[in-house]
Formats: sequence, structure tokens, C-alpha cells
Amino acid sequence: MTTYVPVAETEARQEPGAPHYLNVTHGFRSWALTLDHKRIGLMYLIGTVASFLIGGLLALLIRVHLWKPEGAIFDPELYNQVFTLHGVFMVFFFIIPAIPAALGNFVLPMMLGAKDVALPRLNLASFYLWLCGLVLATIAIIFGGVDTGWTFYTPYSIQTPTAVIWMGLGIFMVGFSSIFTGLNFVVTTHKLRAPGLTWFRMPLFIWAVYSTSLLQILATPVLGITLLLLVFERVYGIGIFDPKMGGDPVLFQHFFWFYSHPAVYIMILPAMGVISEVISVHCRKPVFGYRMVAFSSLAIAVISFLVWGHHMFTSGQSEWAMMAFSFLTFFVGIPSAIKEFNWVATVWQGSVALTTPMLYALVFLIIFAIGGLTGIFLATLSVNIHLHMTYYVVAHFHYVMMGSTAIAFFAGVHHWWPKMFGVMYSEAWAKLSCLLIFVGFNLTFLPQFIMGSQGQIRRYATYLERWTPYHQASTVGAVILGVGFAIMVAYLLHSLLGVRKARRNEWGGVTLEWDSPSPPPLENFERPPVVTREVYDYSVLNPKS
Amino acid sequence: MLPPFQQGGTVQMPAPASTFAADVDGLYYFIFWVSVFFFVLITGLLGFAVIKWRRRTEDQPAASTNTHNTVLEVTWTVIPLVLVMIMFVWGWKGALNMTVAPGDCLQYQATAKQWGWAVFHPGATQPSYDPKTGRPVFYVPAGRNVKIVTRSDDVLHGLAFPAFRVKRDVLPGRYQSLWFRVPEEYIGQTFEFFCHAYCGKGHSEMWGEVRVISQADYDKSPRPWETEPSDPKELGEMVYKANCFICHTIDGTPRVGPSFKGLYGRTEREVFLGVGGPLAKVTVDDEYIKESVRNPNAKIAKETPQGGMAPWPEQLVTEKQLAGVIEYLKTLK
Repeated sequence: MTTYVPVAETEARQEPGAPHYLNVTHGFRSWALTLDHKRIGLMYLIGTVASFLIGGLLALLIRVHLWKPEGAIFDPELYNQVFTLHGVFMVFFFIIPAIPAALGNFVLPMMLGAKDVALPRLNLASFYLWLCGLVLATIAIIFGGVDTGWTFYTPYSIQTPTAVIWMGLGIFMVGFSSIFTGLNFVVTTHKLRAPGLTWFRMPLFIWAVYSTSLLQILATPVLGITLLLLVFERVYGIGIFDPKMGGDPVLFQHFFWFYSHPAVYIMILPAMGVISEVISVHCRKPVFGYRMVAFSSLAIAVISFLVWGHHMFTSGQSEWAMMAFSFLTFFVGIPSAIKEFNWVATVWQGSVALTTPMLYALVFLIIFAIGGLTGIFLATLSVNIHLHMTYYVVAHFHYVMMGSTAIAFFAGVHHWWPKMFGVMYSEAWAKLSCLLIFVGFNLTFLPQFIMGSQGQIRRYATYLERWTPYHQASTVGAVILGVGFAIMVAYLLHSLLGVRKARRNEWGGVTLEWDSPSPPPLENFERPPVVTREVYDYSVLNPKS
Repeated sequence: MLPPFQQGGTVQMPAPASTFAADVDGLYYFIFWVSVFFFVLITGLLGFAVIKWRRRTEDQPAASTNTHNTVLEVTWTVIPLVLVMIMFVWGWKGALNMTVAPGDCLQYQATAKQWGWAVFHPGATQPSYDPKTGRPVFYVPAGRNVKIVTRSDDVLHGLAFPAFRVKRDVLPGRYQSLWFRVPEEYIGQTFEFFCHAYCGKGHSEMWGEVRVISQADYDKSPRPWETEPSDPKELGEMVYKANCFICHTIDGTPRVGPSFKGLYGRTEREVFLGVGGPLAKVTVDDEYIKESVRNPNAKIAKETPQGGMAPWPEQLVTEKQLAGVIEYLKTLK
């Protein structure tokens, strides 16, 4: 079989069978106290995927409950807890850390040609903070759960008897884990680039994670302060958000979205980075409009700080604020549109290999198109007022977060899986699972757009009879989606048995991580890499049998 | 075929039952068709490229190494920018129209409470409910500008009229309002309104009806909203369905509060005298029920020591209605 490898590979190689990062040391302590970015990335991968599976199971329960108008399994109190936990797990424990902390940790230093991140101890600390957050969230569930929705809107979150304080502190911890990771990646990108790796030779994944890191550092402290204020409000009754004491509940919404809108870009920006890598490698073609894509990441990072008010168009904010937020929201959409066009232009006249990662990237392009276009409806003021707080918003959010970000995460997992573990999964099963996920996802969320524009309000434990067929279609879709993910877990775990070993450069990539054995040695590279070519220069690939 | 939703509605939109609907729906469908165009364009080009340039042999290089094209990139930046600016201005104008109520509005009031609505018609002294279902009801004359001023007694709520395309958050400690006008062709039709801001357990039960009537029916005496059941038991049942059922069952299952089944006439009922107060025993009689509605925290059922129910003043439950509630409770053996 012919395979494509960088020129460099013809030079001196390490011995076959030499130790790699997975087997260089053994035992619990070697993992619990590791400073290796690859091992930390792997622990994040396990943790975030576990959170995703928990969140996904909760989502299935929600959908099963909504099979009947009066609710099939829960009483409304429990239903409210289930959708709250679904949101909290998916947002704070899966999707925010998934790409930067799991994939980014593994891939970013290797792409830069570095031995590790700049601050390995901080990296490990960030993982343990994430874990502490998870423990606190679990305590919150044991102490009665939380029923505020993942947005913790006041004054309900002040008054509900559920375990808001524990959950708030848990998310506070996770927030700092996110800040530490961001800080680490910014420093690493500035200080540890390989000789010759100039800013405009950096792969677009680095640009995306770098932009994300800036957001994490600048926005997350606001979430931390907001959650602390909420905890103080509950414990000491300081009255900042409590209207009974002269506080303003809407102020909480401003604080919350000042973080949480940039946070959706913390989620989607690295996903866009993954897609740039995957499409480029599997189409064997440089990303079209490289600089525009890189700058649009930075543009999104900046503008995303100025659009938070679009979550509050019906809250009674001033008409001038509404105008400004609507305008800026349209504005932040443009860089995303540019990226979408650039990706299609990258596929255009490429050498398109329909591998599993590429299939996921194509699914991303289709679903992100819908997610982005439906965002235009919501940015438009008068139409937003009709759609606000309906299932339309739920569907839009899931098209962008689940259908785009999570799908990009899985594109990345499949793309870098051979590098991470040195093994390949069954592509036949992987493609079947990808198809099920694509069909199941659309069947789940397309009906929700229609319900939403018809007026079905979100977060309803019961609903009017006439929406039944749409809810049931959505539930069937969710089951198909669940089967797709179950298959994915099965074949990925099976691949770890090592039936099929992965090649050093499984897909024919030209970024630095492919210039290293699979799995990589502890120090990442056999010798310090030097970059002498432009980014995504596939002309360096040579046939080699 | 997609199942029908509401009379006069389409697959994507409910009936366009207010004067805002034409503008909102026009803009919605404008964005919709622009989106369909771009979606078909993007996926069409993508599908074409994937098929035409799929990798047939492993060593197949890309058909082109073009990495940028300034004219193309400027084009696909500027065209979307122009389109969204049209949408922005159109949407902003529409929203301004919604936020500025005309001066000649009939003024209604809606008070939200966990978990129900008290709807007051202009000049009314008590909230209006459907006599049978206990759902809150707005009777709205067609062709008139209607303004609804809202307030909340506890947490955030929301007042949403999908058929009218308007919505406003209902905030504690602040009056908020919205307005609309229903065209005359909708006389005789009923539409729903909903609570759209998550407010806890009974969130999805906080919905009610808007009945569109003619100006003549609106002016008739007694006013449509002034009719309530004359039988005290039926009146009490209506008030129960409107205000109490989410927390208090009538089948013996405890919920947020104690069940009403077999409550009336019980002797030796254990209660706390105030939150954290001493235990005492009472008989459930008229006086006890009245006190529990008007001043719930004076005597708190032993099962729910933290209390938590907010008082129901006479403005929300009249003396006559309260007497009805007592008669109704007597029937729940």
C-alpha cells in the first residue's frame, strides 16, 4: 500500500518498539502526577467524553419524557432537574473543555513542535480543578440536584431550595480550570514555536485555539464573579440581584451573558480550527484564504464580547441597546460565513478522501450552515421577539453546539485517534455510526425549529396536544442518535485492542504532529523539528511504499 | 403530510392574528428564502466538489493549489453583509413599532405568580378565568389597540402571544408592558398565551387564552369577564383550578403543599405557628382556611415546615371566591 509521508521521514527514525508516552512509565502515580501534555489531554478526553455520555443519557430521558403531552416519566420537578443537569454537564463539563483541553492539549504542543506546554504543572492543576468541579457538581446532585436551568437566572436561583450553591462553586472551579488552560496555551504559542514556525505558518487549529484562549482568559473571570455573587446572595442575602432588597434580577442576566456569549465562541472557535485541519488534510489542499480564516477567528473573539444583549431582547432593555446588540450580532456572523465559504472552496478542486474524519467534517459543514443561517432569524429584532425562548432557540443552539461543535470534536477525535493511540478503528463501523448520527441529529432537531416558530416554549415539562407528532419525531431522532453514539463508543474501544496498527502519518498530513511516531514518544519528536516550508504545503509529500 | 396546527396558520407560523404579524412574517420568510438559497448553494457546491474531485487513487494530488482569490473573497464578504444589513434595519423598525404603544390603548393588567396568571380587564376589580377550566382569559375587542401591563410577585415570568408575535419578560419589582391589535376577521377565535421565562415546577402550566370578541360584545353588560359561576362550589373549583392545583392535589398525593383531600373539618391538625415557631393543633374550619390563604405563614402545615406560599390578597382572590373555595374544599372528602 502506498502511503504519503513528509520528506523528513526519510531521515533517521527511532527504533521500532521504542517506548512511547503511553508505556514509558506505568502505574497510577505515573498518570495522576504526570506533567506530559499528552497524558493530561488523554485524561481530559476520558473525562469530557464521560460527561458527554452522561449529558447524552439525560437528553434521552428528556426526549422520552416528552413523548406524551402530559409527560411520560417524570413529575415536573424532576424534569426541571434533568434538563438543568443536561445543560450543565454538556456546557461546562463537556463542550467548553472538550476541544481545547482534550484535543488541544494533545495536539497544540505537537503542532508547534514543542516538547510540552509552557507550564506543565499549571496544566495538571487545571485538570484537577476540572475534576474538583465535577466532584462538587456530583455533591450538588446528591444534595437534591439543581432546577434552575444551566443559566441560573435570578431570582429563581436565589429562592429555589435546590443545591445551587454546590453547583455554582463547581462551575466556579471549572471556570478557573478553563482560565488556566487558556493562559497556558497563549504562553505556549508565544514562546514554544519551533524554529521557522512563524505566526503565518501556524496551522489554523493553533489560530483558533489561541483566539479561544484569549476569550477564556478575559471572559471566564466574569462568570466566576457572577457565580460568587449568586452564592453570596444565597448565603448572606447581599441583595444585588434580589428585587425585594432593591436589587436587579436583570443585572444577573447581563453578567451571565457577558461571559456566556463569548463562551459559545469558546466552544465553536476551536471546533472551526479542527475543521480547517481535517478538511485540509483529507482534501490534500491548503485551506483557502488562510489569512482570512485566521483573522476571522480573532475578529470573532473580539466582537463576541459585544453581543451579549441579544439574549435579552425581551427583557426591557432600551431600544438603543437592542439596536446596537442586533447590529453587532449580524456583524459577528460575517466572519463565520467567511469561514464556511472558505472551507467549501478548500474542498473545491481538492483530492477529497471520504474517510471518517472527512465525513464528520462534511456533516459539520452542512449542519453549521443550518445553525448559522437560523442564527440570522434570531439576530433580527422583530423576528427574535417571536422566536425568543421557544424551541427554535433550542434547535438553533443544538445545531451550532451539538451538530457543529460536538461533531467537529468527533471529527478531531477520529482524525487524531491513530496519532494518540497508534491504532486504527474500523472505518466501516465508523461511517455507519456517522450516518446514524447525521440522520438522528436532524430528525431530533429539525422538528424543533417548526415547533418553535409555531410558539412552543422551551423548558416545558408538559405541552399542548397539537405538538405531539413533532415531539415524537424528535424523540425517535434522539434514539437513533443514541444508537449512533453507542456504536462509536464500541468501535473506538475495540480499536484499542490494536487489531489494526496505525501508520505514522495515517492521513498524509503535513503539520508537525504527523512528523512523529504513532503514538508519539514522551518528548514528542525524535529530534527538534525545524520548519522550512509554508503551512499546508502538500507538495512535500512523496510516494513511499 | 405535516399535521395542521391552528386555523389560519401555516406549517411554520401560527395564525397571523395581530397587526404585527404581516411585517414579522414577511421578514421571517424573506430570511427563510435567503437562507434556503445559501443552503442549497453551499451544499450543492460541496456535493458537486466531493463527487467530482473524490480521491480515486491514493496518490492523487489536489486538482488545484489555489489558496486565495481576492475578488471572490471580497464578494462573499460583501454580499452577505449587504443582505444582513437589510434584515437588521427591517427587524429594528418592526421591533420599535412593538415597543412603542399608541396612546389610545385599552389597558389590561396581568400579574404573574408561581404558577398562574391574574388577568385584570380595564376597570375590573377581580381576575378573570374560564368558569370551567379555571384558565386565565383575556377578552380582547378586535380592531382596538390593547396594552397589557405586567408585574410579577415572585420570580421572572414571561408573557408570550405566539399568534400576535409579541412577547415580554415579566419582572419582579418592575412594570413591563406590551401591546397589539387584533384585526376584525379574527372575531370569535381563541388563541393561547404562555409563560416563556422558566419559573420552576409549574412553568408549563402557566398558559391561558385570549378570546377575540367584537366591540359590541365587549361593551355588553355584564361584561364577558364579569360572569363567574353562581354556585359557590363551582366558583371554588374554578378558583382552585386557576390558582392552587399545581401545588395542592385533590387526590391525597402531597406536592409542594399538602393535598386538599379530606382537609376540611380535620381536627387536631398539627401546624407550626410561623416559620420555626412552636407546634400547635388546630381544627380546619372556615377561619383556618381564610387565614391560610390571606396569611399563609401564620400557621404552617407540619409536613412543609419551610412554608413558602405567598399570600393571596383580596385583589387576587375575592371574599366571595374564598367562600366558594371553602365550599369546594368541603366536597373533597
